[in-house]
Amino acid sequence: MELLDHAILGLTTALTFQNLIYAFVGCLLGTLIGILPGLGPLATISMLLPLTYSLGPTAALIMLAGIYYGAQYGGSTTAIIVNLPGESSAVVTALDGYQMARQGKAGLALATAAISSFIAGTFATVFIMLAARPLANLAFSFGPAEYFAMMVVGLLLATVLSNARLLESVAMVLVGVLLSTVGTDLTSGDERFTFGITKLFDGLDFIVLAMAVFGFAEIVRNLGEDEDTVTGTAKITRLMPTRAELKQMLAPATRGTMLGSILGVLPGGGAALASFASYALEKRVSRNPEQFGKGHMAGVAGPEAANNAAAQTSFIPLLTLGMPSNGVMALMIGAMMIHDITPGPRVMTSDPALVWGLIASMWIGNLILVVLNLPLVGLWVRLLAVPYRLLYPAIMLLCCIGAYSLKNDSFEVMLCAVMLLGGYAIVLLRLPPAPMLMGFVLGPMLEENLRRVLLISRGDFAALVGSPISIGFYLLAAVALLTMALPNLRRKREVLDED
Amino acid sequence: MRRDTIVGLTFLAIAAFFAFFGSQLTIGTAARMNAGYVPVLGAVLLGALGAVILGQDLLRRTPEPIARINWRGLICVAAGILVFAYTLRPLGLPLASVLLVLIGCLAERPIRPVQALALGVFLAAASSLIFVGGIGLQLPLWPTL
Repeated sequence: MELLDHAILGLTTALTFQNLIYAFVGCLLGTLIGILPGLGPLATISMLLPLTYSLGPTAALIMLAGIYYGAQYGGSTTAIIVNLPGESSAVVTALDGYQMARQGKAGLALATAAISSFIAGTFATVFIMLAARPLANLAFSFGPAEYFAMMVVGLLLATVLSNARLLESVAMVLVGVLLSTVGTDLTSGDERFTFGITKLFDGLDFIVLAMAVFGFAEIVRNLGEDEDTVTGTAKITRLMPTRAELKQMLAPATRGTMLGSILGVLPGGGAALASFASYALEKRVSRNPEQFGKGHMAGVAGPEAANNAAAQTSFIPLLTLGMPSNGVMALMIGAMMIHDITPGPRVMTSDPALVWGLIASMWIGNLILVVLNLPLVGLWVRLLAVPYRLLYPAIMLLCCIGAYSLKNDSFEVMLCAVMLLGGYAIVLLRLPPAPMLMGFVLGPMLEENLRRVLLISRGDFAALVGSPISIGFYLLAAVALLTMALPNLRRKREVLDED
Repeated sequence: MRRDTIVGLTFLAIAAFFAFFGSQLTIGTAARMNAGYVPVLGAVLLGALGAVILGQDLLRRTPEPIARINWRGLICVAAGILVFAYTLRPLGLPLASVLLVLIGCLAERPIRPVQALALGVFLAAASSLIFVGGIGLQLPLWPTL
């Protein structure tokens, strides 16, 4: 069978001693750098790309891929330990993961993230081998109307990210979308809400926003409370999950993998959307949804699986069609061209060892990461035992360095201080920050696709519901809204009946 | 002031900000949406939600306490960040880090200057070694005279 031949070719390529070393180095570097809040996979890969010039193309891609997943793992680690998502797809992990850490279950949270990611990585690799071609074609059938519909559903799902009132969650999503309009409008070239500040021409950075709200504001809030309530007086329980907990992880991780594998293929969709679609799904199917946001394991297992699966399947458009589905893939194309390989549909036939070797090393990279990270869990957990008065200046410094490194400019750091005021207000008023961040991430795509649809249809709003895919998404949105409203109605009726 | 009222007013204020400055941009039509379309539209929706939240609270008057504002923490953290931002290029990473830590440590109640200084020096050295020496981030290490 052809598939078996490919698999064998891939494994023999990936398992050479050299390529194993490169995979290992990539994973290690990626993890270490991903831990720094502010340095996500994109920045990490750009920084380390020159290191790969002297390697052969296969080795270079394997190492870069390792850096990619490593940075994802690292970002999840900081999300859980100090509530600082290293990149947009880790925001959801921070929601329940950090709460678990505060309850002394940091080890369990980290292990859950690592194991779920590994499960996702395994399934996604097989998935890629089987379904690469049809998935790529699926990506083609997505036009602006479909993307807009998907973004609408995504934003609605964002309201599920918190237990706050629906009105407030939607309002926060809108705040995020409005914040995302700051900067130069790409289509018209106008500057929006920059007030002449040249450094705002590129808009606000997601990391600055996330750091201000999740990092600095959280620090100020913790400083106001007693020392004991901050890093949790709960004794740190065992680090590794029990058999029962492993079984509990399996279902959410599988669901997350399915979601992530499909959403990862869509250009621009990617890991962030996948992770909180998974969160919404887990909350919906869970037997105790009110536990979400307070440290529910499925809230970590599902999203982590989803973002890892999405990260892997985002390679599909690159390998099958030569199309990058996100910034990291664009860098990969750059790396391939540096090594004199023109990415496109022919790469699969002209250089199968490269393609299948890369796919095989994805799985190996995941394995390396699990082996690397599970023992490190103990180290991270011990970090939590450091008294908070020593820890928070370190977090402050880490964030400031990360913010500076975004554009090698102190302006981003200053922005952090300004955003801190808003972030602290959000914390004080107990408003949900996650929907705002999601609105910020999805806002630009929402606007761009809305404009495209209306431009093509010349102002005809009916074009938004033209195709079966977009209708499907809107139906999904309607169903989601209904199921969110219904339990409230039922509860109100019960209260009335009791009287 | 009740929490819900403040929330509603805050949303209204944000909406007003974006609506006001957004309307100064060309809005365009639906068919040819220009820069101001989405901001104004979003601001209108946000304003509506803010008004609803405010209205609901004026009717229901649910007393909800607002958490105490930690002024000391807020000022120290914000000042620390700003000082770091301004001194990074002129003074270099290690010195800027020490300043950040010192100012940040002012936020905790019993101020322990020696401990703060020690922590500052340790973090400055560690971050310089790891991030500039190890990873190779482009951060100035020495003061630019």
